[in-house]
Formats: sequence, structure tokens, C-alpha cells
Amino acid sequence: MRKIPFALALLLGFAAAVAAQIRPPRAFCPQVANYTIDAQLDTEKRLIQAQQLLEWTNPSDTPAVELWFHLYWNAFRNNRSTFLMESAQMGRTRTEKFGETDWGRCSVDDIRIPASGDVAETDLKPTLRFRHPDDNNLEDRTVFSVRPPRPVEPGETIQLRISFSAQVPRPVSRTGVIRDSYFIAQWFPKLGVFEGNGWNCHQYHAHSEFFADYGTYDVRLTVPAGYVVGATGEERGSSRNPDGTATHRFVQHSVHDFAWTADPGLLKYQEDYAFLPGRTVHLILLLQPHHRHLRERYLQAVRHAVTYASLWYGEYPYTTITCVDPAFNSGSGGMEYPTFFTGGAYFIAPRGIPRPESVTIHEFGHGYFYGLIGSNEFEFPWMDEGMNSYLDTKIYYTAYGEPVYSQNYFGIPVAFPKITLPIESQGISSHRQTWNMDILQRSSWGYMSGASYGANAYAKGQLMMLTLERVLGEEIFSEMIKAYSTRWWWKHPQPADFFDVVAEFGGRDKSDLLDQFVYSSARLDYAVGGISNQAVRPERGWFEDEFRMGEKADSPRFETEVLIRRLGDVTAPVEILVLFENGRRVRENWDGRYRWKKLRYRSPFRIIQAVVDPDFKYVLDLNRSNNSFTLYPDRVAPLKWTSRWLLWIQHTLELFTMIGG
Amino acid sequence: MRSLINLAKGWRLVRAFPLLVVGLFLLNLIFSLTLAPPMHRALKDSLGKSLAGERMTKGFDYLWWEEFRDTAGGPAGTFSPAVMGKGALLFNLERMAKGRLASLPGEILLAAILFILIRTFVMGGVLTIYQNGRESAQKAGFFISSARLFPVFLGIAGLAAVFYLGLIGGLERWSDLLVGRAAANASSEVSPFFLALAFSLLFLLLVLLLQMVFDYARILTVANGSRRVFQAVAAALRYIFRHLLPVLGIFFLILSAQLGISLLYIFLDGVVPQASPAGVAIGMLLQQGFIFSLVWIRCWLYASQLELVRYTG
Repeated sequence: MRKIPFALALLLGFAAAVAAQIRPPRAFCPQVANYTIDAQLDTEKRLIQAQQLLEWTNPSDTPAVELWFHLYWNAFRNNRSTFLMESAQMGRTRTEKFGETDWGRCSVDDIRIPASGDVAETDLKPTLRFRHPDDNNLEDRTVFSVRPPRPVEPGETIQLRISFSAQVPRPVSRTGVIRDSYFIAQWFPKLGVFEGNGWNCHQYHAHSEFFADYGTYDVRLTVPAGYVVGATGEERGSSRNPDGTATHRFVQHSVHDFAWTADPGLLKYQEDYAFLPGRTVHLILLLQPHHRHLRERYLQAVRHAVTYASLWYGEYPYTTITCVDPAFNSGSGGMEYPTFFTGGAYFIAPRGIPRPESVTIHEFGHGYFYGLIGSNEFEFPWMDEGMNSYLDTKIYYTAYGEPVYSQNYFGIPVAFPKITLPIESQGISSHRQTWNMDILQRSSWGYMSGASYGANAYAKGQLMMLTLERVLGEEIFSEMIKAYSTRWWWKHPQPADFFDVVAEFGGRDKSDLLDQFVYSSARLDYAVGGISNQAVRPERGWFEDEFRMGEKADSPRFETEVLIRRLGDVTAPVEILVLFENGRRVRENWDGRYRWKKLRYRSPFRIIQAVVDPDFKYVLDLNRSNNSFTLYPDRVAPLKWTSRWLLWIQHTLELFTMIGG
Repeated sequence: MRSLINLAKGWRLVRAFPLLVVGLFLLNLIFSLTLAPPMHRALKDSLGKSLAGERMTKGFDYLWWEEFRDTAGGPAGTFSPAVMGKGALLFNLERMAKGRLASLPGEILLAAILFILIRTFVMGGVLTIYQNGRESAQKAGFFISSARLFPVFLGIAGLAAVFYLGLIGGLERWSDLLVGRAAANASSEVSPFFLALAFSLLFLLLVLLLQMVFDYARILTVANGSRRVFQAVAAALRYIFRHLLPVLGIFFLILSAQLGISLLYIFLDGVVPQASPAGVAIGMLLQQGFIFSLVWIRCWLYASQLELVRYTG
């Protein structure tokens, strides 16, 4: 047997030890940032006091001179934080009525490197500085850095022991306490992401979400006994304490966040659900008592979500899913955390109206887009919101069909069963109203307004994905999206990574199309400009040696023409469907580049109808009505709907008679 | 019992002069139709020569409607499923309870104001005919009575407008603040919902009571020949409190009839297919039949109230 040199063996052993440290046998990925937290909730003072052991392994090939952290709750510390200033500029005065005890904050009481071997304990508190990488707002304290005595080398692991206290705010955004219902998110000093060329650690903005590295969370929560507790991951036991509290332990590896809820009134339902043959997940539903009649609707939505997401995007890898029905006014509804999310319901919930199903599926879906595929929500908001909006819409429509239109009267949602919302309608209206405000790819706080952020990150992103699905075809798209999804689990993809996968499966031209959607605010609008049917004129003049005097032509009888126009600035290859009066259908292709195209035919029959993009591939088309043209427009519709609208006018006038006559 | 007798007499009175109801219905229709051409044009322009027109005849093209809604202005901007069929009734009921019936685009509000003026004018003639019978039913007599009563009726209408828009509107805004404050600390949406609903029902009741007072003010003006607005209103209040039970009885029985006819319309509107030209025509007839019945019920209310006044002397 060949002898392995001792030095090489030592090196291999060291590498294995490092690898084992950052990737425990059960974990799905390198555990870059591990948090062991022991937190105590004082419900009288609404204060969390906690001790946190953070183990961070430098995943890059550059030494880390500093460590940057998020302290998100300092956004609620005063109205000079970046978060609240930006909110105020958008007209959202979230804290105007706040009293002294309503504000939140997170303070690092102590931060040190524990003693290890010969190395003495190092107090890092003197090195703590608040940082403002985005806007130089010195009042904002949502990012801080500390400087260890020496850089953390690539692959090296550093431990930090942190004591912190977090004042639970009245709900402003996503977290807080209302009465005795606590929803706790972004509550601990959370490390940013070290990308080699520096720390990716943004301040908390009015429209930003979150970005962190994967690791293991082992969290003990001590709360008053009798509180129902739910959190990220598996519950690994709970114990009663002599002082009337109870401690619950939750553990989850391969995630990048940890949130929890504690509320004495929650109803807890659990089941083991087989979402695929041989695969089971433990479902937990924490429900508000006045929503108990919605229990099965919530659970069914989660079952559909995990089943379809697993089929289309890869088998859900974790062992638990916890869905929380949030308290009214908690501000925590419709939000996602790894293996743990909040839905949102109203106690009057007619069937066919997609609440709570739609938000439940959406927030579960974030377990994939953002949870597993850890894109940067600060910098590429569409990569989670847009993609996930597409995912949740597809799941909803597959599982439940088209939702019905509804309107609230006296706070009661009333369904209009005859009016259903097609899948192409999801998001197009907000895109239509904001298309020229921003390009899709902006940092989340870089949009012109809240409406533009929502329309771009969610609506346009979703519509783009649906367009891509139809352009590629379902089969290629589903292969592509599954490949993208599973390839980038537990990693941090950027737009180029997604484009590469699209090009791999769909060709470079599809990436060119995406480029237009993502990096420009050009609008997509193809239209049929008109149809012309001219009778073929009899021949007059010299034809070879024969003079003809205009006798009637035999056939064909018509020179027909269809004008197709590109009214927007997005260029895309389109199909055109032409219908002749004898029922003959012709499909044509156009590269869509120039401003117009004329299709000409000589035919015994007239063209009566033309449709550009007949299969409705380009759902981003802002004006779908002009995609079709018919020589015989329906005259009944304007009359019918004017008449139906008139009923409202007539009824209004009759009500006015209580004033006069 | 008294209420039922007066209702029966009121019904016979309305039946005796059906042309009055027809005239009031036509007034409603004419004023509504002034708003129809712009809406028709907006819909026709938007549907244009696209295939959306076909889809809108057979059903409701939600995609097309979103496009229309996002670009429409003025009265066309009110076109929405929320104000169609049952939506129209619920929408108006909610706005009435919130004192916001007058929150309308300018063109519609103008038509409504002109409608109220003309309606106020003709109600003088209508009530005079109900009061005095055939001898005052000649054309000249009708218009002379209308002209004679118009100043008082206009004053009553003005007072009614102040109370409705000012009092109900103001109370509603105050109740909104109250509900908001109660909701701010609630961890469940149920109690704020019921609080808001209770306020809405209370305001609806208040609106109906106001209508009762101003109805009797008009009736007593015709019955007693009073020419003073405040005097008429004061007399109405006194009358109502003196004959509370029969007054309320008539009112709420008529209200039940109105509710019944509204529910019937909603049901028929839902089941009658309106996807073909014939179906659309039937739908239109159904609609106008419903409005006609509302006008009839309004006249029936007046006639019954008048009969009560006649009975009590």
C-alpha cells in the first residue's frame, strides 16, 4: 500500500474536520451561520432578553476584517430610522399615535469572542459601530459592525457570544405584539452575507425584505406557560419551569432565518401529510379561535402547496411546515420565514373567494423562492416575489380553478360567481398603471413609489414568468424551472444565474427577451391595425401581346390584407391567426421587430378576423383588446352593459327621492 | 291592522291613477338615459372591433374590463361589476347608510340634482291628485298644484338634503373614527366588524326615519294647505309621534315589499340567461320592470300615508 505523506494526511484530516464542522451529516448544505439562542420573553415589560452563540464560517476566499450585522428592530426605535422616514415619504404614518411603550428596538448588551484554548476572551463591544451603507442616515441603527482582533480567514470559523435585549414593538411591519399575541421576526442580531468583496448587509428600508446565510438554528424560547408557541423548524421538546414559564426548543438546519409566535389563544392542529409517495411532512396549523371554521381550508391550501411545489420545483426537503393564522392588527400576516409562515383570513369567507387559500399558498411558496433559493431580497426583489407570485398563482389555479370576482359591502365579501378571474389577469392591471415608472430590476428601496415596487417586484415578475412558460412551452419550462430551482437550493443566485438556465433550456433568444422585460421599462403591445378586403380589379392594359379592357376577373376575387402593428417597444416574435369567411384559418409568424407587418393574400374569400398572439403567450401585453380585429364587431355588448349600468343610475335616482319627492 | 287597511286603500288609490306612476317612471328613465349615450360610446370605443365584444355579450370579459377601468374617466369610470345586478342595490344601500349617496362623478350628480328638482315639482301635483281625486286630475290642475306646492316642497327637499348629507354624513364620519379606535387594539376583526355593522344599521334606520318625517311634511302640506317649511316639518314630527304605530307599520310593510321585490329582481337577474340579443332584451325588460315596481311602491307609500292622515283627520 502506498504510504500517504503525513503532512498530506494532516491536511486532509483538517479539511475533513472543517467540512464536518460547516456541514454536519444531516444538513443539506454548508452551515455558514449557526445560531444557538436562549431567549426569555417578559410579557409584562414586552421585552425579550437573550443569549446568542453565533458560529460563522467565512465562505469566501477573502479574509473578513469586520463582521456586519442586522439589527432590524431598530427601524422601530424612532421616526428618524430609514424605514420610518421612507414610509413617511410614501404617506404611511405608521407610528404617529405611538406612546412611550409602543416603540421597538434591539440592543446588543454584550458581544465577545469566548475564550478558546490559549486565546483569552475578547470583548468586541468597544469596536461596535453603526453603519449606513445605503443612505448615510446617521440616525439609522439597523446595521452595525464589530472588528475581531484579527481577520477571519477563508474557511475559518469564529464564535461570538452575544447578549441582546429586544423591546417588542406595537406592530409596525411584520412583527410585534397586539394584546397578548406575539409575532417575533427579525428579532436577533443577524449576520449579513460576506461575499468576498465585502459585506452584503443593507439597512432596513420601507420596502426591503431580508438576506442572510444558511445555517442551523437551535433556539430555546421561554414564555409564560399556557402560551401556544410556533416557530421555524421542529419542536424538540418543551418543559415547564418553576416560575410559571415554559421553555420550548426548536431546531432547524439549512435555513437562513428564524421566527416565532407565542399567543395563549391559538388553536393548534397537527397532521402528518404524505405529499408524495414515500414523503411525509409534519403540518402544524396555529389558528385564531374565531377562524376555526376555516381550519380545513387552511390545511387544504398547505397540502396543495407542498404537493404541487414538490412536483414542479423539487421535493420539499424539510420535515415540518408551520402555518400561522395571524391575529388581527398584528401586522404579521402574509409573511414568510423558513418552514414557517403566516397566512391571513377574514372570518366571513365565502367559497370561491381565494382567502385564506391564496395568501397561504403564496407564503408557503416563499419557502422555495427565498427559503431554498436564497436570492437577495434587498437587491433582486423580483427573484422571490415575482417568481413566487407565479408559483402561487399556478398552484391556486390548478388546485381550485379560477377565483370569482368579489366586492365588499358593509365589510361582507360578496361573490359574483358568474365573473371569474383568468390567470392572465393576475397583476396586469398594476403593471399597466406603472409600466413606465421603473425597470423591473431595481433594489427594493430604489423604486419610484410603493406602487411601482409592488407592480414590478410582484406583478411584472409574475407576468414575465407566465409569458416565459407560454413562450417556451409547458414541458420545456417545467424542466427549466425545476433545474433552476434545485440547482440553486441553499445558494444565492442572481439574475444572470437565472438567465443562464433559461438560455440553456430555451435558447439565447429567450434570454434576450427576458433582458427586455427585466432591464427596460419598455411596454409590450402588439395590435391588429386593420383588415382590408379589396375586390380584385379587372385587368386593363396590355398583357403580353394582348390588350384587355377590364372584363370581370375570374378568381381570386379579393386582395386581402391584415395590418399588424408593434405599438410598444418590446420586440418579440409573434404569431398571427387569420380567419377567412369560408372558415379557413392561416397561421403566420412575424419576428415582431419592425413597427408593422402586412400580410397579403389573394383569395376568393374575404378575411373576417385576425388575432395577433392568438395563444396569448405574451401576457405582458398591456392592451389585449387590440390584439383582435373582426369585420363584424358585436353590437349587442355595449347596449347590454350600458343597460345593466343604467340600473344602478336608475336605482340611485329613486333613492334620491327620499330627499326630493 | 290599521296599517293594513291604509295600505289596501293606498294600493287602490295608486291603481286609480296608473298614469302618475308611468309618468314618474318615465321621468326616471329619461334622466337616466341622458347619461346612457356617453357610457355606450365609451364601451363601444373600448370594445371597438375586437373579439372582446363577443365575450362581453356571452358573459363578462374580466381582462377587457380591467383595461377599460384603468383608462376610463368621468362617469365611465363607474362601470364595474360592483354596480351591476345585485351589486347596484348593495352598493347604493351601503352608500346610503354612510351618507355618501351624493359622492358621484359631476355629470351623474348634476343629472341627479335636476331629477330631484323636477321630481319635487311634480310630486306636488301627484299628491294633490291622491288627496283630491279625479277633479284635480286634469292636466292644468296637475301643473297648477305642482307650481303652488313647489316652493314648500323645495324647502322641504333642501332641509332633507341638509339632514341627510350633513347629519348622516357627519355621524358616519364620527362613527368611522370610533370603529377605527376600537379596531386599533383588537386582536380579532369580529367585534370591529359588528360595531361597524351596527352603526350602518343605525344610520339606515335614521335615514328611513328622516324619510318618514319629510314624507309626512309633504303630505300634511297638501292635506292642511300649510305653506311654511319648518311648520310642515314640525307638524310631521307631531303627527308621527301621535300615531307612531300605524306610521311605522305602513313604513315597514312597504319597506318589506321593497325588499321582497329587490330580492326577486336579484334572483331573476341571476337565472335569466342574457348571453344572446333576446336574452339581453329580456334582461332590459326585467330591469325596467324592477324600477317601475320601485316607483309604484314609492307612490303606494305616499298614498297609504295620505290615507292614514285622512283617517286620523
